[in-house]
This record gives sequence, C-alpha cells and structure tokens, in this order.
Amino acid sequence: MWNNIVNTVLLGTGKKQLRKDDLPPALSAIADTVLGDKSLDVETQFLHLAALALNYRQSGVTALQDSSVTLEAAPDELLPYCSPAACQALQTAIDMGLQALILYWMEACAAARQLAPPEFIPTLMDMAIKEKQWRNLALTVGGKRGEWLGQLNPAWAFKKIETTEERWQTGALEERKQVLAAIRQENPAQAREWLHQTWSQENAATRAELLEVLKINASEEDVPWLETLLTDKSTKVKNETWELLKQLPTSSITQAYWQLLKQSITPAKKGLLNKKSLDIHLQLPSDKRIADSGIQLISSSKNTNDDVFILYQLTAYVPPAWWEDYLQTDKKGVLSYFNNTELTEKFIQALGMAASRFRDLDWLRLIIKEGEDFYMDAMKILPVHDMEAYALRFLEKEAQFIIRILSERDYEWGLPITRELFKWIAKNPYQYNRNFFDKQIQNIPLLIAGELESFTPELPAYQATWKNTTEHIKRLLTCKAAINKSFSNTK
Amino acid sequence: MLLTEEHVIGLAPDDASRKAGSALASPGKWVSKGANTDALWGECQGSGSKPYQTQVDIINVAFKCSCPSRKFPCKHGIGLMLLYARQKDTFTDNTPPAWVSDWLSKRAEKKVEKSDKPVDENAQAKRLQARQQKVADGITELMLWMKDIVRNGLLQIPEKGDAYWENMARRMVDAQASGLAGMVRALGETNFYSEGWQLSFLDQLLRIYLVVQGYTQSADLDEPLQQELRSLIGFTQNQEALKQQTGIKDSWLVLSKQTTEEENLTTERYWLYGQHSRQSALVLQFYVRNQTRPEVLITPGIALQGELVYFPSPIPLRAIIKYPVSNISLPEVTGLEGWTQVTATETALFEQMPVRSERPYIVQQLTPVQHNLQWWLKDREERLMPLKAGYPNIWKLLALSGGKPLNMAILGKEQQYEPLGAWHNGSYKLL
Repeated sequence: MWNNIVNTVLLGTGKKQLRKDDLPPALSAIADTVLGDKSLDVETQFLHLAALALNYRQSGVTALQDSSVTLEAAPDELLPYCSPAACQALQTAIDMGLQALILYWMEACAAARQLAPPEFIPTLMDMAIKEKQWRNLALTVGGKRGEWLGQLNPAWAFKKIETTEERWQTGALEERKQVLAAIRQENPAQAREWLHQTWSQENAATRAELLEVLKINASEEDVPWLETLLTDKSTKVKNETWELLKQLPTSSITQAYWQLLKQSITPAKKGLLNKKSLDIHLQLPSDKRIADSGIQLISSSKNTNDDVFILYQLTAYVPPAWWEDYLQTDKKGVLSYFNNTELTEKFIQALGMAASRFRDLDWLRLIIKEGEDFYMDAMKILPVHDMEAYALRFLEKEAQFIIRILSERDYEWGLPITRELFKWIAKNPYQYNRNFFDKQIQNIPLLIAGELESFTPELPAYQATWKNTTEHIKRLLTCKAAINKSFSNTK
Repeated sequence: MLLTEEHVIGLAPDDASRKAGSALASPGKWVSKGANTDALWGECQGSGSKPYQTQVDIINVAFKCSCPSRKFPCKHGIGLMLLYARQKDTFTDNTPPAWVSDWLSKRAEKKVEKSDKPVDENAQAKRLQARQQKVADGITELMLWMKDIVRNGLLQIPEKGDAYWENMARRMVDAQASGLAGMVRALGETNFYSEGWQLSFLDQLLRIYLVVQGYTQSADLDEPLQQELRSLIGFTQNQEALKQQTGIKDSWLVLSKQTTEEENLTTERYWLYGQHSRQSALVLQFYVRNQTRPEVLITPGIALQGELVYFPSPIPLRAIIKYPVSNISLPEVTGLEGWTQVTATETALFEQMPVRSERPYIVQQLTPVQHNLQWWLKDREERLMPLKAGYPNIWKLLALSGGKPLNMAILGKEQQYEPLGAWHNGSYKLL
C-alpha cells in the first residue's frame, strides 16, 4: 500500500493519480467517498487518502513473530564481580580519563580474581582496541561476558592468549619481548631455546630486538649459541651479540680482552716505599676480534693516549673480581693498585662499569662507596633499597636520568626518594607536568599525599603551578587509595 | 536526598563538567560546606578573590551557584553533590549561612508573590481573534505550497535550496504558527542522501496536513484534542494556569534525560513514568546558553515523589512538575508484558491522535537479538521489534543482558524503539 502512495507522490499528482486499488480493501469505502468528491482537487484527494493511510499504517503495527531468531546467552561467570566500591573507583578513573589508573584498577581486579561489572566492559574493550597490551587484561576482568561480547563485536574479538608460549608465538613484537623477558627471568635456558627455535624465521630487526632481551640472566650457557651468531649478516644482530658476549666471562672475547689486559698491565713496586702500582704497556698486535667487537682503537681525548684508552675500555669489559686473583689481593687491594698512579687512577671508573656489567654487587657497592662517580647502569642493577639510596646521593646532579630510571621501574617508590624527587620536580615545574604524574601513579606512594604542600618551591612564580600539581596528585592518589581499599580484602 | 555518585554524574551536562566536577569533589577544595534537611551548600575557592557560593535546595530540588558558568549544574554543583554523596559525614555545619537562607526564603516568597493580575478579557479575545486570522491566512498559503509539492512530485525536492524551506517556515512564524514553522523546518531537514528519504519526507508532509486539517475543523472536536492541535500549531499554554490545576500524585521514575542544543537554546527532555498511574510523561526544561539557566534539578535514574500536571491532550504526555517534590529511590514497576501490549497501546493512541511523538514504555523481559544484520528486541512471546537505527548504546545493553531478558524502559513509536535504561540485578541502569 505505502509503496503505491509513495510512487504516486514521487511522480506528482500532475502525472499520476492515486486510485482506489492503491489502497488496502479496508480503506475502499472511504476512498470511494474522497475520490468521488468532485469539489476536492486531485492534490487534496491525495493528501486526504495518504493521511488516512498513514494512520492506518501507524495503527496497524505488529511485532514480527519469529521463534528462529535467538542469541545464545553468555555463559555463567566463574569468578565473582567486584564490589560496588571498586565499581565506583573504576568510574572515577574513567571520568578522570586516567588510563594509568584504569590499568591499575584492571590489574588489581585481575589479581583479586574478580570481574568488572558488565556495564563497564564496553568501555574497557574500547580502550583495549587502542592499547594492545591491555587486551588480555580487559578479557580477564571482562570474564565470560567479555568473551561473549567479543563474539558479537568483531572489534573486540581479541584472542585471549592463555599460555605464555602462545603469546610468544603469536604476539606482536613488544608482547613477545615481554614474554621472553618474563621467561628469561624464571627459566633462562628455556628463553634461549625459544629464541633459538624461531631464530631463522625472524627478520634482522626483530632478531636484534629479541637478542637484547637475553641480557637478562645472561650466563655462560648462552655462549656457544651466541658465538655462532657472530657470522650473522646483520650488523645490528652482530653488535647486539657482541654486547651480550662482552658481559659473559666465559666468552672468548672476554677471555681475549683479559689476556691482552694481563699482558699489558703488570704489577710493579715503585718508589722508595715500594708502593704497589701497575705498569701499562699495550702489547700489540692485538687480536682482530678486539676491534671487531666494538673497542675503539683511537682515543677521543688529547690527554689520553690510544694505548691507555684501549686498555681502559677493556677493563670495563672484564669481571673486576679477576683482578683479585691476578694481583693476589682483595678488592680494596686492587683499588689501591689502581689508585697509586695518576694514569691508572682513571681505570677505577672502568672497574665500576665492569662491576655493573657483570652484576658484581660487592664490587659495585665498594666502588660506589669509595668513589664520587655516578654509574648509570648501577641504577638498573642495585636492589631497590640500595638503588634508592644511591639515587638520593646523586639526585641533584643526575635528576632527570634518575627520574627516568625510576619511572621505568615497576614498583612503588619509597617515601624518602619520592620526597626528594617531588622537591626537585616542584622546582622544575615545566619539565614534569600532570601527564608525568598520571603515568607514574602506580609508583607514587599514598603516604606522600600529606606532604605535598611542604614541597612548595621558594620561587613565587612556581608556587601556583605546584599548588595545581599538588591538587592533581591528590586526586590521583585518592582514586588509587580507593582502588587499593576496594580490593584490599582479596589482595 | 538520595543522590548517589552515579546519579550526580548523570546530572552533569557534558563530559568536561563531569571531569571538572569530579576534580572538585575533595574537601580541600571547599572553604566551607554544610548541609541540613533543607539545603546543601559550600564555598569553593575558584580563580577569583571570593569563593564561589554553591547551594542546592534539597526540598524543591533546585540549584544555584555564584560562578559565571552557564552550565547547569556547573562543575561546583557537581563537585559539591559528589562530595556529599561520598563523604556526608564531613558536612558537619548544619546552620545555613545568610546567603543560603536568603536564597531559600526568596524562593519561598516568589511562590507567594505570583498573584493574579487583572485580565482585560476583551483585549485578550481581540488579540486571540487577530492571531487566529493570521494563522488561518498562513495555513492557506501553506496548503498551496504543499499541494504544489504533491502536484509536481518529489523527484526534484532534494535539489531545493535551504531558502525554499526557510521561506515557508518564516512565513509560518509571521503567521504566529511557530509549531507549523518547526514542522516545515523538519521537513526541509530530511536527509535526502539517505535511502528511502521519500518515506520519511512523505510522513512529515502528511503530519503537517493532518495538523492543519484537524485545526481548521477543530470546532467539531473534543476540547482536549482541540487544545492538542492548537499546541501543535504553536499556541502556547499558560503554564502558571496549568500549575493551578490538580495533577496526578505519584512516584515518578525519571527514566532518562536527553539534551539537545540548537542555536544556543538547550532543551532538556526528561522521560518519566508513574509507578501507580502507569502513565508516562515528558517534562521539558529550556534555557539559553549564556543568558539563563534552570534552577530545577531532575536526576535521571531516581524517582520524584510529587504531582505532575499534564498539558491538555487526548493522549496526555507533556507535563509540568508541581513543586515541591522530593527525590526517592526508584520504586518497583511492572510494566507491559511484551510487544503485543505495546502495539495495542500504540494503536489506541494513534486512534485518538494520529500526529504524536514517541513515548516511553516499560516492558518486561526483552532480549536484544540480531536478525537480518540489525538489532531487535525480543519479548518472551518471541515477538521482535527493531531497535532504532544507529542506536548508540547497543553494546552496553548487550553487556548488561548477556543474551538474557531484562526489564527495560524504551522510547519510541511505530517500529522504532530505543532503550533508555534497563533493570539489572535489581537496579536501574541508564543507557
């Protein structure tokens, strides 16, 4: 019926007129009356009948009856939903648009083996579209309902990866690196084996990136395989391999460095008091591999000759403990050998670098304690307590580097270092804005909230900025506290 | 006051206000704050030298803030109410300061002040007669214009420029038929790029025709229908007079709030449903950005205990609230059993008034299902009704449903429905 009416008006009543047959039988009688009324022009007749038909259509709507249309219900959840307080905390984090807090909430929820209420799942899934690394977590807190929605919405059809091996085999590079790093922490040999298995299928850039992960828990068991990689066509891969081998004492390159060092640096007694010292004479020709492995042969400083420069670098690449055997003395004794001449004094820094590289904490602690140099790598190796104490010592000199390293560590900072960091940031308000705190909220301890005002900088121009920042940090911490509290019973 | 955090968040006019309001929901932001059984108040230190004074009349559900923002409620209002919802215990002061008690007493005075002014009935009748003549002249012109469209056909219609529609709309404004002007504008706003535009265009054209025909022959019609038609033409209703009438006392569920903005005029549409009367209602609030703002707060997701007066109509829907009302938690309602009852109700409504807007229903046990690449709502008798095309909250609805039936508040007519909210685990969730 309606098509007939529409077709008539499409052409216009000037060309086509509505007929009784165009209307349903129920309207025939009234159509006769209207069409028979010659006092009405054709347009009025059309409008009369179409208006009548409109209400006929409107009044006759019925629902479609079809029992074949079904939707399989989502399976029952196996885990409980989170508490109303947790929902509220999530809502606050979403309202504030704070991704770091939403992530923190999902981690807390997953750790508590609870689920996000269904109404939040679409928001979390939408976020996971953009943030790939959130997907597994979104699926975890979304529970069976999330998986079920993923079957209906292709954009949310994230594959929940159950096993780490599956994630390793099917994940994107960043995720694979994360998996490999986690495995390397727990089972270094397995991580090496996994990489070995897929090695031939990876492209050069991926090979280099994945190889870098093997720096975690690198051991002499890696050496045979790594040494075969020195023939790789890719320079990136070769460089990465050298970097790894240079931190392994049993590698032939470290041994070669040591041989050359032993030949070139010999113990001696000098002066009237027979002071213990070291003679330095670079023994050439050196092994070709020394240059190949990245050792610079020409000094970049006028004050240091090439021979000393080479030996300095080599010292940074051999375990400091070897000097104890070689010089037949303890750590302090080794340091005093090096300290006794102006030339070798500089090598203490190289020993510090070597201590970091070979993760020799005793040596590192001693050098840190005795010296005034800042070793960047030490920040990554020292246990949290020592690292924070070390960071406090050098904060004024190396603030930005220390803040960066602390930001990359996944743990809650101690109060003393947080205080000093915030004091420094308060004095440098343009380098660290709200975004910085948004991203670091997981690291910031709740207890700092009460002290924020005390960090107000002296410079009046910066005081208002810090006041605003303080308010923002407090809001973040309030939300973080609410998340912690709402999951505390199950943590 | 029963406002929960979720309710307060629902009051925020936009995302920015919600974020800014959340940021102000901390005690440190408030120089002073207090609450008693009548009101809630606080002073918030803003960028100015004096703190902003924010107050909420709990009894009459009204709001005021001294800040320059024209958002309603402003971020200070959201912040204060959020803080109250979260930390009621911190509102220890229960003696309202002068600026709060003055405001409350002025509001009370205003109600008394509104006395009847003497009305010159002769002059009023003359004005009405003159207007009716203007409307009649306008209608004659409109009819000619519409017949032209019908005679020439719709094929060339999409090529008509804006002036074609706007000129006729303005002519209707001149004829003091603002309702018709709006209907003509809506006709010109048909999406001519969408498939099947001819159908919606013809529907709107016929609605105009029905209104005009009904109005011109209204002498034979019942009074409520006459009033409804007059209102569709553009005659306004004296709301003060309306407020003097006896309304329907009930617990009114605030099912949803829809906000639209056009040329600085913000329109808030609140969809209500009476627990005992089982009647739906539409309450409108208008305000002009940067000039006025309403004082009344209606919170979606809770219920108002109070009296509603409907505008005269054979199928009453639009209503005004008679204050005072109080907020109560959402009561239980049964609603209709399925689509058969919805369509029967719709048929009865169309029988009385063929030109009418969509209205809300509460329907039991509806399940969202997919059929022919479209989402539908299936009732327990396995009858299906399509969801409005482009319904934005389908995923939230599906997440709540999980493929199982839910009692829902829906809005629509004919074959276009959109869920406004759904009962999930005993609580009403806004969609």
